Amino acid sequence: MPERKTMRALRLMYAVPVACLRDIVSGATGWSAYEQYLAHLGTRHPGIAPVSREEFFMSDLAARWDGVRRCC
Amino acid sequence: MQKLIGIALAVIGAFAVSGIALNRGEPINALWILTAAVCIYTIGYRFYAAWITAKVLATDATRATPAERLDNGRDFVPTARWVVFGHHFAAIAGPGPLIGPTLAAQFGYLPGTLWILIGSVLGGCVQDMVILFLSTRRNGRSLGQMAREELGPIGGFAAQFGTLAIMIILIAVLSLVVVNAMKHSPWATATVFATIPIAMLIGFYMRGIRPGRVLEGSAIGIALLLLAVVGGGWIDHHPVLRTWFDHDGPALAWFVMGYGFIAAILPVWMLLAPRDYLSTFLKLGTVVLLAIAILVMQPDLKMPALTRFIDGTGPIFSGKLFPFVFITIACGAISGFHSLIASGTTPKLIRTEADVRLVGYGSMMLESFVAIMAMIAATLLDPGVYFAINSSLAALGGTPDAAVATLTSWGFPVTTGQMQALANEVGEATLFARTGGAPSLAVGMASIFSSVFGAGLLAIWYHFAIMFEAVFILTTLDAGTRVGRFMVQDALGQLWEPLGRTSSYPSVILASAMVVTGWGYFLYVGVIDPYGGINILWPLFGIANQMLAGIALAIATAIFFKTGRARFGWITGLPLTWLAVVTSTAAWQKLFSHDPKVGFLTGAADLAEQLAGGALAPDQALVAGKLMVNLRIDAALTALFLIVLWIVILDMLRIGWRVYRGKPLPSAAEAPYQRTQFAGVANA
Repeated sequence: MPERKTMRALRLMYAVPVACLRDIVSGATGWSAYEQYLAHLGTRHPGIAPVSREEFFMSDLAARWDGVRRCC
Repeated sequence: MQKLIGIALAVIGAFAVSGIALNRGEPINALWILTAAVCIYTIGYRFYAAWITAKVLATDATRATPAERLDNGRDFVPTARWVVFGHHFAAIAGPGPLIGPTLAAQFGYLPGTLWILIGSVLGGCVQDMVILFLSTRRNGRSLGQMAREELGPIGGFAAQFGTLAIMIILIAVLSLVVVNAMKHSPWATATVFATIPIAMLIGFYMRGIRPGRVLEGSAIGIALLLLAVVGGGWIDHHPVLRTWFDHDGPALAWFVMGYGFIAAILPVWMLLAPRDYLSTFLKLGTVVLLAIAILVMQPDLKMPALTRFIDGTGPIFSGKLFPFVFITIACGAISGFHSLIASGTTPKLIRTEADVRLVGYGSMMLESFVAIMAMIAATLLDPGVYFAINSSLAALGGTPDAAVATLTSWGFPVTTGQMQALANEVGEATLFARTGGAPSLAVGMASIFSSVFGAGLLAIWYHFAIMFEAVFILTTLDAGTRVGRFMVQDALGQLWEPLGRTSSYPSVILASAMVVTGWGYFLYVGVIDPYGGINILWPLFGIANQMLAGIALAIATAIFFKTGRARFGWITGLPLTWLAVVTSTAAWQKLFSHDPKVGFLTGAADLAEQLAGGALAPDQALVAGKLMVNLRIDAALTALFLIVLWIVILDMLRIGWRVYRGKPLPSAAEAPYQRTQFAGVANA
């Protein structure tokens, strides 16, 4: 029993930083933007049909680069 | 418990800082600096930032953010906090914090390090966080809009002008850095050139072959980039191929200008976006790798804490420690440019006001940490080698032999044999006068990496570092030219409506050409300048960037006055005062100093005198006319920056005075309170 507890504590110890890192990388690069968009629509706008990955990618790019997006 | 941790941190931090400050004579280990940095950041974040958010900004986790209220699934999207952190960090972190500390190391490691740490904790991080908060409360208003609404039309115009001016100078100085790194280096040039078709290939991959599969595309792209680093070495050893990539400065400058123009008018998916994916992955990877390598290698810093050049006679750039260390290091300590990002996309993603501290203050802490690592990479080199790489030959006597003699007489011994051996090791023809900071940073990074991840690979690591910096810089160049194009089109559209259509090709071409001409001019003059150009352009960039920071801090202070928080005005007023003093002193010296190496106008007059007296060598006489014109343009720009900064400050003081006299002004457009619907957030 204590072993299982230790395992769970260990998993938690790793799980949090790993999840943080994954979030940071995905926020920085935008590599999972479409998955986030799907998840977001699912929870917040269940009535709206999501656009396809291709369509999302192109419109996301257009929106991403219409102002100051990169700095010195 | 929290207090105990805090006290422990304070003690360790104080110990490390005093260790750094009091240690004289013997080399200090980089771990001291890392320890001091981590302690200072942690104290700043846990105490100062927490106090500001709780007492001054009064962030309210129960208040719905614009991301929640205006949620449209596209630009307004409530997003998990670490995702926003990553998004914001990637946006603010560019090549600036790598280059500034490298140049400022000419004063020794101490002044730059202290300024990076103190400037960020009390200045830069606060600016980023406060602007992010104010913009979040105002439905994601941009800095320009806030300036117009809070200060008035003059402030609004100043912010607009400041943004465009800083963009032009930034791109010019960064492209000069890349050109100097590629000059007569077939390996670096071939590798940097190769990044362009690689990015386009990935662009087509992500659009046509596997649409939207960013991770796959990026992985392939990174692999190809690494291949390009190795392939560049092969080209360098090929007797015929290497001549194709062996160019002088002006030729490369024309190439970069042509590239910038084409990149600004191509659709984003083709070049800009894919290269940005690659550069962001490279950026994150390299930062982590560098941190690990420094921890493992634990290098000693060979640079003294202070050098003799604090008296203003430095060979890399002229000017005394005060104010020029604070101008040279902008990004990494406080960078006005960040306020554009903090009032751009980021406030539209913030899920709850409780995240403002992590995203605003935390991201800037990480950027500041990158600057600290750049400082370590610069100061672990032999000082003689560092100065030989970063100074122009003109500043050291004209030839490599004279340069080593000059440096040795200054107490930084170095020999031509040592420089040649190092150049051979990194696979370059020479390392003398490779100004701009990139080559010296690359030598520093390469020596860290190769001592940890495989010795003997110095040449590969060096060109990896050059490629990394170039990819980074070219992304800023593309993105900046494109934004500049939008701004120019916006301005032109007010003159004649058809010129403002962002989809009209003649307008796009005209506006892009205007922006490229703007930075291309400064780039070209920098390239033909025998002193390397960086010595002139980098301080100009620093002044522009600090001016923008001054504008942002003035807006924030004005809002504090208007919203009854005048007694907390000092949290932005203090860094603003310091920036006003530093920027004004630097600008004043740049304008009116009698030292021809510092003052633009004296420099121009001095050049004219030498030209008339026949004291210049024929090749110098040929470019002297252009340099004189440029020095006067630089003087005019500096004066303009100074005037704009003071107009905004006076505007802010006018508001403060009115409030003090009991004639309060309403603060515009703070969106009304609405309770959040997110479960868990309000109680968190």
